[in-house]
Amino acid sequence: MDAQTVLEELTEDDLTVEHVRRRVDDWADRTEQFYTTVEEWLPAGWTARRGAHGIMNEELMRKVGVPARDLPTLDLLHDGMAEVNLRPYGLWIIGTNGRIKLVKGHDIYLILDYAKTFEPPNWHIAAATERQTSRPFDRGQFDALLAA
Amino acid sequence: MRSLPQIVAPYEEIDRGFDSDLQVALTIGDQAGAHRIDQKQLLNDQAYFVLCRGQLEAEIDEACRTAIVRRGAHRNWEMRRGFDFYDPNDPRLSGLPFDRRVAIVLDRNGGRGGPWATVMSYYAMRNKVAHGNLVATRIDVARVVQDLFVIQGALTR
Repeated sequence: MDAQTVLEELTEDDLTVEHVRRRVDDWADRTEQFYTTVEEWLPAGWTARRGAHGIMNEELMRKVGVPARDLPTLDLLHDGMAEVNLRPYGLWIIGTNGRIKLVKGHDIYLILDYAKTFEPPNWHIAAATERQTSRPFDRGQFDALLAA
Repeated sequence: MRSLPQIVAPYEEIDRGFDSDLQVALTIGDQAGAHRIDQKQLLNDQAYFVLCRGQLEAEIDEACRTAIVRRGAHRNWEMRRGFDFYDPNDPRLSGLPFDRRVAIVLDRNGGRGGPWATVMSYYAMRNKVAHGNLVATRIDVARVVQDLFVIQGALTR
């Protein structure tokens, strides 16, 4: 049976190359789906473009020999000006099933997946200044963030 | 566990500072600076994780002590038996290892992802960090603290 949390993955000794490879693929899929959702929610005047790729090469990947992977970032532009940047921050973070970092001006937000491994994502958002109060990331939260 | 909020507050303040510094480093293309800040965040996470988990361990010890007193004083021998081996006033609870202290207050058969299993996973992670094997993995301390409070609620005295 697959480990259900990052904590389990990091404290169990039977992690396989196949498991880690599936997790990386799953993370790439989830971030892609997240970007697609965000693009669909963009109000008038906003556009999206894929930004520079970041390299995913986390400890568990190096440990079992899974190669590094390029993951795209996403810029959100308002009237042609880039105002928001989304970047996959990390998959293996104890307490979450992956984090995407969202930067808008000087404000930093954490997009957190609270789902168990290989389950459908359960995205939440927390301002970096108020991490204890994460909220489900839905269209209302997204609209409010863009309008702020 | 009452000290957890006081522990988490400075953690978040420090980590927010690192986040801001990291953003500046990335914006100006200072990759070496960004890497140094990443490393500081990893260390800071682990230091505060050990502090927070220590609060749970103290709570487990207290719950275990209470269970030993209650069960040891029970009129019915079926409930009392075995518990008089342990001295609740001994700071080390008569040498009871941590996994057995946990087993007195949480069901070892609670299944994968249950409170007992989660406590033992956090214990394994704490041992790695405290014995010098630092992990290159971020820890969402706010989320871990929520988890610790859930475990606290499951402790059976």
